[in-house]
Amino acid sequence: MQSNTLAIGGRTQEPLTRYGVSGRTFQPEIDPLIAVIELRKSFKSLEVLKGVELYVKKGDVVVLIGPSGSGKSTLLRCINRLETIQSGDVQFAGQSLARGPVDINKMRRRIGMVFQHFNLFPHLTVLDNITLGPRKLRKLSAADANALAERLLERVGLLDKRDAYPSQLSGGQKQRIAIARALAMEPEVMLFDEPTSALDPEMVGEVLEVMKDLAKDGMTMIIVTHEMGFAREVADRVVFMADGVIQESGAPDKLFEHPKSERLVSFLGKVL
Amino acid sequence: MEVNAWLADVGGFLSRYSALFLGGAKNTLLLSLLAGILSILVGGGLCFLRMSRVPPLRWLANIWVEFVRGTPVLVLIMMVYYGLPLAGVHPPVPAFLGSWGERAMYGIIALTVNSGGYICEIIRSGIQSVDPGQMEAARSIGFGKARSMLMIVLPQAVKNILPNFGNEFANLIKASSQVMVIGVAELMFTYNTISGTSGRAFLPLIVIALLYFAMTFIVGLGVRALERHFKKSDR
Repeated sequence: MQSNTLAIGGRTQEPLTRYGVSGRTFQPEIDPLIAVIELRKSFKSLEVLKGVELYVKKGDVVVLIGPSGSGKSTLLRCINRLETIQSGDVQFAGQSLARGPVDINKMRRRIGMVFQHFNLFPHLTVLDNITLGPRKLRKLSAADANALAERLLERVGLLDKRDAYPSQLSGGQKQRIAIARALAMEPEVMLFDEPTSALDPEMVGEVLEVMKDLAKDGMTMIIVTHEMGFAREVADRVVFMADGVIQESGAPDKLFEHPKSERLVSFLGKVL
Repeated sequence: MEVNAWLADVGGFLSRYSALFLGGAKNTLLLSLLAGILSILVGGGLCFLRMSRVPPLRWLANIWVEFVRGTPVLVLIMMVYYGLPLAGVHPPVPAFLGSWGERAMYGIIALTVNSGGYICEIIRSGIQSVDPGQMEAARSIGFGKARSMLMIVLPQAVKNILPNFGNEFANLIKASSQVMVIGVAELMFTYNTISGTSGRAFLPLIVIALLYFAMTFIVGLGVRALERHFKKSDR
């Protein structure tokens, strides 16, 4: 993948416009699907993101790593605007999420998200968890939505749980269902916010397998994780964040074998 | 022998005044039912205001809730009874309330103002007891705020709201006894008539207490049945 050409510093393709509306239409072949531009974000007086730039092309798998409190999750949550964008911009398929008229609900259908704590709907069955979005938002018939859900359940290996309630599932199973639920909207990108951090160790593998499978299928993914082995295996690009800025980014081999910044060296020393 | 005489005495008292007692109880139920239904509507509306993004709307709801919390029901009833006519407000009186309808309406309004404030708080705390991740998950799929609230958050909040609703309705039934001061012929109001004509101070109170207990107990049973129903669908 040509992801490195879009990395910080080595960017060859300018995003459509840095701010606002551009004269030319979005071209998926050359323009980044997601452009995070000069993004800043503060909670009260604490500045969490201090001007982050990130460009993700269609089909890229980008893994965000870094110490806790470095702003990884906040960055991810800004991409579907679960956090308000205070300064700078996030553009999805050439459309600014922070500026101008944008139907954020429509945009979010195209951006799947998987949470650390699964956030399955406990009052709905597994099947209803998955079909709710397709039925109500994509206006699929019940039969079509069920067929879609069953295909996805098959894919995550949980077809036998279709009528179970979330409370009857293990953590790993819940997360696989959460992935299926996000996929049911047929999103163009999947955001993963520490998807395995709340899992017992023996369940991490089953979730990572599903994600690897997705990556293999060419899904565009942005993943916040502490699983360095996984990052190394599936990432096209690893982005290291610390203190609210991207310190370093590049191909996993390069980043893990030859870290340049002091911060990354010390971080890797602690986690590897 | 003395027990028999006592029983006969009480039996005579009850048969003589049962119509009055039951009539009062019926009115108490009617008052509480109407005030209860209105309170849910008012409380829901207030809660909507209280969680609104527009500050003045939030303030309005906050003032209402704090006012109700800090004002005795009795004071509220008299304020409505004397205050609304002064302000030129004459509430519509449904025909089925009969000859005492206007007084009853003032009572219902006062009880609604009171319970509405509490129900607002009950609904709000029920909603806030639901993990914020639920709202985020619904929004991340692409549902709007209102739909996420209706389909995802509220069904989960009901479990926490119901028991408190039960308490509030029991409180409402009991608080309705205070509308006797504005001359509404509810259950407690019958005490004056009955104690006056029978010359007994205590016996009517026991009957009245038992009737209030029966009403609140039945409400409690109903709410518990509803709770079981919601637990079943939730596991």
